[in-house]
Amino acid sequence: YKATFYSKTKEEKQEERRRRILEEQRQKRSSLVNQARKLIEFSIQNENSENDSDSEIE
Amino acid sequence: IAAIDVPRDQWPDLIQILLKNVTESNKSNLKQASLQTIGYTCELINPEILASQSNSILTAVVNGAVKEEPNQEVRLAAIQALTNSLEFTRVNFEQETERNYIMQVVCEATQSENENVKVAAFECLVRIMQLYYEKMEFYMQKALYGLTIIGMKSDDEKVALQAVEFWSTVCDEEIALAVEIEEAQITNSEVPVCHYFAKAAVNDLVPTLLLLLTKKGMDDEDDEWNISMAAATCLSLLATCVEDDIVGPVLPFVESNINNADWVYREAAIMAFGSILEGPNPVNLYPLVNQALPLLVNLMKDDITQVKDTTAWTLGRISDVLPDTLKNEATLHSLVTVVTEGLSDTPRVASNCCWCLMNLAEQLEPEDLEVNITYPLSKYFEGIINALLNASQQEQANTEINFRASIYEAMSTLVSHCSKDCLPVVAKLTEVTLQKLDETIMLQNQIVNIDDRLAHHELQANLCSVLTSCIRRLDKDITVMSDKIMTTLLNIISSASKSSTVLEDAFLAVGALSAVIEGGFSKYIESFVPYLNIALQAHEEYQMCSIAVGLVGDICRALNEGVIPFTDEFMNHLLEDLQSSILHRDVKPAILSCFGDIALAIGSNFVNYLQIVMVVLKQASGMEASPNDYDMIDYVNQLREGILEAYVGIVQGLKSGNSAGEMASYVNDIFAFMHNIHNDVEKTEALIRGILGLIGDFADAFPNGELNPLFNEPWISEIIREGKRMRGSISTKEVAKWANQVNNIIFLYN
Repeated sequence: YKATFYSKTKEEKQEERRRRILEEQRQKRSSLVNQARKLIEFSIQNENSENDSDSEIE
Repeated sequence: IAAIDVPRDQWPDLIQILLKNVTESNKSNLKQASLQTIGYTCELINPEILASQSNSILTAVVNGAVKEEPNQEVRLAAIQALTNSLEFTRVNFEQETERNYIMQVVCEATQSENENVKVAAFECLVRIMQLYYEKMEFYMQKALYGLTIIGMKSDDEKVALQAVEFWSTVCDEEIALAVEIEEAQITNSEVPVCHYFAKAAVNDLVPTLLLLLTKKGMDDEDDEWNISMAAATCLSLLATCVEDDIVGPVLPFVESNINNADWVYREAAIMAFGSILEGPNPVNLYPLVNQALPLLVNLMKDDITQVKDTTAWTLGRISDVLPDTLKNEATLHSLVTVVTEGLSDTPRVASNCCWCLMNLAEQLEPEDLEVNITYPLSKYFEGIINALLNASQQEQANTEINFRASIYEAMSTLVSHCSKDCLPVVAKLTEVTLQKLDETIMLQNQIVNIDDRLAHHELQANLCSVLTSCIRRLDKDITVMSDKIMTTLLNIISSASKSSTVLEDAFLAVGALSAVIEGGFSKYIESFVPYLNIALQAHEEYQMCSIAVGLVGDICRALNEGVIPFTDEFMNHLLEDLQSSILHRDVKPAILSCFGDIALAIGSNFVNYLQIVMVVLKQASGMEASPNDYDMIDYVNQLREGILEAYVGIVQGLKSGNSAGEMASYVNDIFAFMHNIHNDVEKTEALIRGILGLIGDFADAFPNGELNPLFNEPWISEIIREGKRMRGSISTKEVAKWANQVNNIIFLYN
């Protein structure tokens, strides 16, 4: 009936907020991890292209 | 006693004894008490346990529920017991003859002279519709349709409430079925059957529901369930269910009553309009909403509180589900003006105005908060914030705690979703909030009354929550205020009572600050860590402890190696938390992830904790769920995600400190753990993503082919293929690509 954000109990709202924060922390963690992976991918790609150009010279 | 004994098989003859009382005794009291006992027992005990006795139970309860039963108290107890036993009599319900008999008994009971029996019979029909929707086509045609439509019109409100509830349940079922049908069509699986009862009944239902909307009085409280509320709920569900078909039957009522001299009809017309805004195609609703908006704006000035209350709610609904209707500047201007003025109305109206502002803030949010300079609410932003601050100062905000919470929630939402040109106002609000928090600290020793103390805690929690939003939105601009913020937060934390949630909210504000100022947080860490360590040991207050665990992760990300002086204590507390039998299990997956955060921050220094952490992770890896225990399956999956996050953090952390070799002796166990998850039918996409990431991390950490035998196992290429094929998730595909790419390189060079 007339559902609003305020129809939720304080506990429900707090639970919702806790879940959101856990999710945000998870996202921060994974973005940090993915950043490191991207750097590695980048260096792998660089290494590959250097190897390719070396072989072309040969 | 039965709830304890029966599942342990320590009272096997209970149901037989009760059955005998019902079928063989001629003492009405004994029959009634036995039926009530059966009812309560059925309600409490897991249906699977009683399924084997379903025949006996049904025989007993149906025997007491028949119209020939002279004692109405016995009949009432029997019908209530029948309602509670329906869940595990599925086998009987599958048999047409048995089902027919049960339905006949219940339908006859709806015609009883006894009001309680009648209400219980309708309640039973609601439960039957919930559990056995697919079997109801025949009974709807023959009886239920007519019985319930008449029941809705009953003078007896309790009967009418259950009859309305019956149709709300029909809508609930059909809304859920619509989702299932859509999913089945996408996945090419078997499409469930929908009988479209609501669609067929819409023209009969709507007039009755509209009539019931008008059954309300001036003194009706908002928190007492009554027939007009039930009708509004049903109408709203019906709109979601039948979509465009609702508009035709409802619109004439709205048009003819929205300006009715009788406030009851005026309010009912607005309620009807607000209830049908979700379901029909928005394109069909736009012209109607555009036509209604000027009327609704005027109705915010009505003399009757109920009318203004429902109008504010309807404006909130429009802002939430049809924000495109507010693109016109003049319309938005008049809407924002009335809802901002409405903040000084009664708490009931003002709370809905807060909700409306929250919806506006969320729906009109700029596409990119970091890029977009302005947005449609920019020119009103300062006015709205000031109106909210004024409302928070009113006397009624102090007496109505929920209203005050609404005000601060609206403020937080506006701050979180505003464009860059509003940031100077957010900075000012931060200062005001800090000042208010300081005032609460000064006042708190003077509060003696327990209710006042609770209200005081609530106020501090609300203010901390606004402060958190301001910190996050101002980002680096908050740095100039960080000393003041930390001083205030430390004062709040040091004086917070254990029983309040203030500590949680203050910790969240600290977490937000550390995330924004990063290394700048180092000057506060010495003063803050003692409180964090106490919270990490709060085993009985698991939610506090959970926030503290998250905060350790936040601080690690902010300070990196700067956290080293504190990690011994953190690790001790986290390991104690894992061993605690008091601490709620929900915190434990987050603790495992937190090991990953610490390892990522301190790199090779994690070697000091490696041995103990690996033992703990291996122990946690051994946890399995039994196939039908869905809660446990869910929990084990969360635990596994935590374990994988820990391994990822440790592998990456050690690798960054050139100590990846320290992991060598644990690699076989970790791969066995991942393989075990891969074989589990209940594994989630997040777990697949976690495994793929970790495979790639291992390949990168051991680049000289040390792990090639493990990478050569067939399941590795299987899971990489599975990840690449994942339907919805781009991130899973990307991680699969990462694992594959790193693996290929390793193989190429080894």
